[in-house]
Amino acid sequence: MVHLHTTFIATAYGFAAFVLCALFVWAALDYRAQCKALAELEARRAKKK
Amino acid sequence: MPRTPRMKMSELANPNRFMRFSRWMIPLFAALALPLLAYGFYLGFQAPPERDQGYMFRIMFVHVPAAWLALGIYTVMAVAALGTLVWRHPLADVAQKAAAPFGASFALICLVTGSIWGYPTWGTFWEWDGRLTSMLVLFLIYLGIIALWRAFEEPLLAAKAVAILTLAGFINIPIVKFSVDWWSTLHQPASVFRLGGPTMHAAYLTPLIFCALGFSFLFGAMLMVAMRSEILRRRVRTLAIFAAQEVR
Repeated sequence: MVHLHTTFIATAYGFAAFVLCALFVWAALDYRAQCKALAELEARRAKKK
Repeated sequence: MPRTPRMKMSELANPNRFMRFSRWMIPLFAALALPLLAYGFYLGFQAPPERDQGYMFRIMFVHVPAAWLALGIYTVMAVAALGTLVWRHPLADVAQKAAAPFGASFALICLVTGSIWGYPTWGTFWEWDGRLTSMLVLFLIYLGIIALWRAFEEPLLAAKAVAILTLAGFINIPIVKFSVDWWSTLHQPASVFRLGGPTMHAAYLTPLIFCALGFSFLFGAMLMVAMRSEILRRRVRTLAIFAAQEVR
């Protein structure tokens, strides 16, 4: 009974942890990508001036 | 002229000020979230087995905060939709766009952990009853909102369309909340937010509150990161348009 409970509980916690980690990684990578794109565009504008 | 709290809030409407403000709020929220979650789970795993469910109640510490956040985030998005349509707040649609994937994710966590909890408790992973179906509808509304954001090239045009959809979809929030009272359902009735006060024992309620606070601060930190990304994305878009016009 305890073993069966552990399987269900671990699956639920594992799924929640996976989704939250994926969200964190997505938010961090998107932020990094936007910072990089903005820096590149500003550098290009500065070079033109 | 004296500075009033109202003025301070309006100052935050400026994206530059928000960028400065969020730079130190994100680590603060993350630093609050982690100990709250750790303490909440610690207390939760120390609690004695529940009379009917044994240790299965431990799923509650992710399932219930996820459900509360899925409903709460949608409510915040509905207020932001009003901010877009009525007050034309410059950060309202940024907040609304940034919050949608988090709302969808918490709704998904709620549905999946609820199914996992349901099988050993009710004998089935899924039942088309009022609470489960209205929660699924909430998840689908979130997906619709995310898809609508992606359907428009112009962010301001998308913001208006999404705001209308968000306000129309808000009708589902009281349906999710009161579905357990209105219809016969497998899901248990409300045991925390109810008129007569919580019916849950303190051994389970205290860790649940800590976990809910921890998840809320975690969401707050990730939302601010996503809002910063969205502000930068719009700056990139504007600069790219200027650059294209200069080439012509």
